[in-house]
Amino acid sequence: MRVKLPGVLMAILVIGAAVPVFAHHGFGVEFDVNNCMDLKGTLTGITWENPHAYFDMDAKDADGNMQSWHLEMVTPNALKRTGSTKQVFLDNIGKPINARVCLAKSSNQHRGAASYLALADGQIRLVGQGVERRSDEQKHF
Amino acid sequence: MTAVTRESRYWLGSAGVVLAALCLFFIFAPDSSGQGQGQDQQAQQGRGQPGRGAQQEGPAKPIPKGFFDPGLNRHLLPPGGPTPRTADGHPDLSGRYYPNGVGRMVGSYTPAGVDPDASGLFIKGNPPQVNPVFRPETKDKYQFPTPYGTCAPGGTPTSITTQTTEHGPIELVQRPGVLWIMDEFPQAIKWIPTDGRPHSKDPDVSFAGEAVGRWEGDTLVVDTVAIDTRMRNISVGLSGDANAWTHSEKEHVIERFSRPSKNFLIYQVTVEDPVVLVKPFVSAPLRWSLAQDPNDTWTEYLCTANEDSDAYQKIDPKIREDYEKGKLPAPGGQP
Repeated sequence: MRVKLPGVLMAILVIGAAVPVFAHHGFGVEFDVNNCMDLKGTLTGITWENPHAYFDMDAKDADGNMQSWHLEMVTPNALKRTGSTKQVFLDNIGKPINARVCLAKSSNQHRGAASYLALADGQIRLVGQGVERRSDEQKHF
Repeated sequence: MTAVTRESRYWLGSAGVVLAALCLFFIFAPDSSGQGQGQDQQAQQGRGQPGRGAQQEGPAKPIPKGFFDPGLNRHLLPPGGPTPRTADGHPDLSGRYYPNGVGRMVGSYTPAGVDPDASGLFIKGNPPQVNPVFRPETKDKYQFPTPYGTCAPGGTPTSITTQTTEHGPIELVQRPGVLWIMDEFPQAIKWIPTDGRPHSKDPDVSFAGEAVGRWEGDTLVVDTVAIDTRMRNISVGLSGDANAWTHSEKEHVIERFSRPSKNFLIYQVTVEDPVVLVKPFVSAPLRWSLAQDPNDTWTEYLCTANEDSDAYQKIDPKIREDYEKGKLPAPGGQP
């Protein structure tokens, strides 16, 4: 039987579009507002995707071991409108970063949601939901 | 013969693409009169026009400091000028609007200091909105939080009302006899003929529903029926996915749009559903403001699957259960 490639591609597209995606979620369901901490390390990556953007960073744990973190931010459309564009992150790969992070409730270690961070220029950037209800003056490292 | 056919298809296809592009141009191109586009002070100083205007002037400039710019407005905008009007005398509703009074995106991720009376949709001094009153028997069938991790499609009126927690812009494009409403999330389009036509005798069911518009003075009244019953009413009444509710085939939505001045759009929605509601839900008049940043560009915000589904699978079942019972914050919002 001859299989027509366009038909197969179309079928994949249609089926793929019909599969519910695991996407929208609430902060309180996945992340623990009572388990937040400051992380200091190096920015290693940026994932600029809907519905949430992520950045990766390396930071040493209490024992001095380097750990890689995968941290969620708000939506790209909100980030760019707060002045934190994808290019800002790309320009800071390999440079110092401080981040305020609330850890994931799951057992998946080194995941969390960042509420604010400071890149090499030291400017506080709001990148997540202000779940800790801190004032702007309280946001520093 | 094959080569000819292939070539013909190529040219036909190319012609189709060009035709489609031309159609889109004529649909979305700005009025030559300039009516209906915001022209804030920055625009008048030669920095371009906000909203659509910024996009027609080439690539947007980088946002220099974003919300860190201390010069950004944190207060309720002034009226901004008289109501723009089209050649036929009706108000021109065209423009990109944010669900607040400051003309830009505001959420919990923006610095504090925005005037509380300007940070949301409700207008100071108005009577409080009365939330929907449900029939007792609707609890199980029509009232339940949006299932966790799903992306409910937009529709009428959710594509607009969900911005209560999404904070994203809507863009209205008005042409003679028609109004288009687009939203950045959930990327829905509503087509509203305003040429006086009645509803179809047997309208097709869709998430946007079948809409017809008519002018009552300076207010455009949009009447919508045939809304897909899978369309979840989000932030129709109490805000957020935790308070979402579905509806019956008898749902009837009436939306009223007005533009009292250049900088503001007023939106009011009434939802009738005798199967689900004791009486129609009548929203307060909700205030939207014209985008002020000349660099503000349209963004695609889709619910795509870049989540780590494993993370949720590892969540304590008790947490998931609490969510399903409405004891935890619902998805879909950035309060």
